[in-house]
Amino acid sequence: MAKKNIRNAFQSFMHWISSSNDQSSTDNVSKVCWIFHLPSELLQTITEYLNVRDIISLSKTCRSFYILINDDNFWIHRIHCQFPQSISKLYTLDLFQEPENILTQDEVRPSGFDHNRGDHELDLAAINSATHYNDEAIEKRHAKMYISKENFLTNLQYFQYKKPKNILEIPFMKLIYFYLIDRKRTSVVNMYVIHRNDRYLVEYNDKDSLIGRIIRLNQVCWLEISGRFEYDIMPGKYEVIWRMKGHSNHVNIWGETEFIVVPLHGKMLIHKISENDFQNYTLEHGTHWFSINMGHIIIYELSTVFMGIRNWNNGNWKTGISWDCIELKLIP
Amino acid sequence: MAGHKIKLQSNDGDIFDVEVEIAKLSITIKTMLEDLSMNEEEIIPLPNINSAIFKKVIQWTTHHKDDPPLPPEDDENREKNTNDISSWDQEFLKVDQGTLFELILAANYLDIKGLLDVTCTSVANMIKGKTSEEIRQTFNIKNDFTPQEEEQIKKENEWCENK
Repeated sequence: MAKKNIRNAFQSFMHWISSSNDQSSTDNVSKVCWIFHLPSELLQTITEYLNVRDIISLSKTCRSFYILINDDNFWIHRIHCQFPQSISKLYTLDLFQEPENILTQDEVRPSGFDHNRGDHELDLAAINSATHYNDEAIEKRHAKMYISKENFLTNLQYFQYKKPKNILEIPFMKLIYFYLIDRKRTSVVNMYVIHRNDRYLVEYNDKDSLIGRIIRLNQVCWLEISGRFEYDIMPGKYEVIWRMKGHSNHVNIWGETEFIVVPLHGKMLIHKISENDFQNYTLEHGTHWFSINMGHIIIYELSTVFMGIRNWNNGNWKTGISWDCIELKLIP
Repeated sequence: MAGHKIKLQSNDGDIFDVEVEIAKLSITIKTMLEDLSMNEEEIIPLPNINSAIFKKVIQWTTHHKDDPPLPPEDDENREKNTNDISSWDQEFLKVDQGTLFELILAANYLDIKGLLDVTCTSVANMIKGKTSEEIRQTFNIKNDFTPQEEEQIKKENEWCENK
C-alpha cells in the first residue's frame, strides 16, 4: 500500500514537472511566436494534417497565414498530396487545355437498355452517349476531357458548399480543391418515382439515411425511378455508388433491374442487378444499408447527369428494397 | 556491425558518437555516408542543429530504431492519419514550443520522416478545432489585420462552410 502511495506521489510530481514545462504556460510568459521560425514549406507540411475548416481558421489568424493559404500554389500542393496522380494532374493542368477537335460522323447506335421509354430524356441522352462516346467514336475524335477556366467558374456549383459570390477573387485552385472534396450526392426522394404514394413506393424518414428521407419499395409491377443530379458535373471519371437496403427477408425483384447513369457528354453506365444478386446482398447485409459500386462513367464536357432504375418487362410484383441516394465519386 | 559508431558534430561544437544504424535513420546522414563514401573516422558536421536538439533527435531515433519502415504512400487514400501519436512520443513531445519547432526543422534537415510526421502532427493537434483567436493565443500570433480586413476575409470564406 505504502509503495503504491509513493508511486502515486511520484507520478503526480512528474506530472507537475511536465505540466509546468508545458508550452502554454512558458510561452505565454515569453510571448515568443515560434511558429514563424518555420519556412513556409514546413508550415504547409503542417497543414497537410489539418482539414479545410482548420485551414480556413488558420488563414484568418494573421497576414502571413492568409498570404500562404490564399494562393494557388498552396492548393495545388494540397491536391497533389491528397489525390492520386492522375486526378491531381487532370484538375490542376490537363483539364483546361483545349483539345484539337476532329470532326467525325458517328453512326447512331441504340441505347442498349433492356427497358426502353421512347423519347424520355434518359433514353435520348443514352442514344447520344452510345453514338458519340462509344470507345471507337472516342478514339476517332481524339476526345479529351476539357472545360475552359471561364466555363468552370460560370458553372461551378457545389453540393455541400455554397456558391462563392466573389468567385474571381478566390484562388482558382482553391475552388478546384473544394470541387474535388465535394460530395456529389443526390437523394432518391428528389427523383421522379412512378407510383410514389402511400402504398407502392413510399417515402419515409430514416434515421440512418445519409439524406434523411428514403423511398421504400413495398410492391410494384412497373418499377421506374428517374432523375438527374441537381447540378451539372465537371469532366472526369466517376465511380457510381447506389446506397440501398433490403427491408425484409424476401427481396423479390424478378428479372434484371437496370441501374443507369448517363452524362450528356460522356460515357454512360448500365449496371444490371438480378434477383439473385439482390438476395445475396440482403443475406450479407441483413436489413442494414449497403453501398454498391456499380462501375464508372466518364464525362468529357460539363454535363447534366441523368440516372434511372428500371424493371418492368414482366408482370410480377417487385418488393423488398429501399433506396437512399446515389453518389458520384472521382476515381483515377 | 552492431555498435559501430560514427562521429557527428553539432553547430555548437559538441561531438556525438552515434551508432551507424541509428544515424542512418536520417536520410541526409545515410546519403552522406553512402554516396559521398565519407571516411568513418571523419567527423560529420551538422551545421543546422545545436546540441540540445540533436540530443533529442538521438533520443527519438534510438527509441525508434527498430520500427518497421513506414508503409509506402497509398495512391488511393493519401489523407494523413493524425490521431495516433504513441504514448512514448507524447511524453517525448512534452516540450516548449521553441524546442518543438526546432525539432521540426531538425527532422526536416536530417530527413527523418517519422520524426517530422510526429512533430507536425503534434503542432496540427494544437490547431485542430480551434477558432482563429484560439490559434493566435496558442502560438502567440499577433493579429495584424485591420477590423475591415478581418470582416472582408470572413465574408470571403463564407461559402466554404457547409450548406
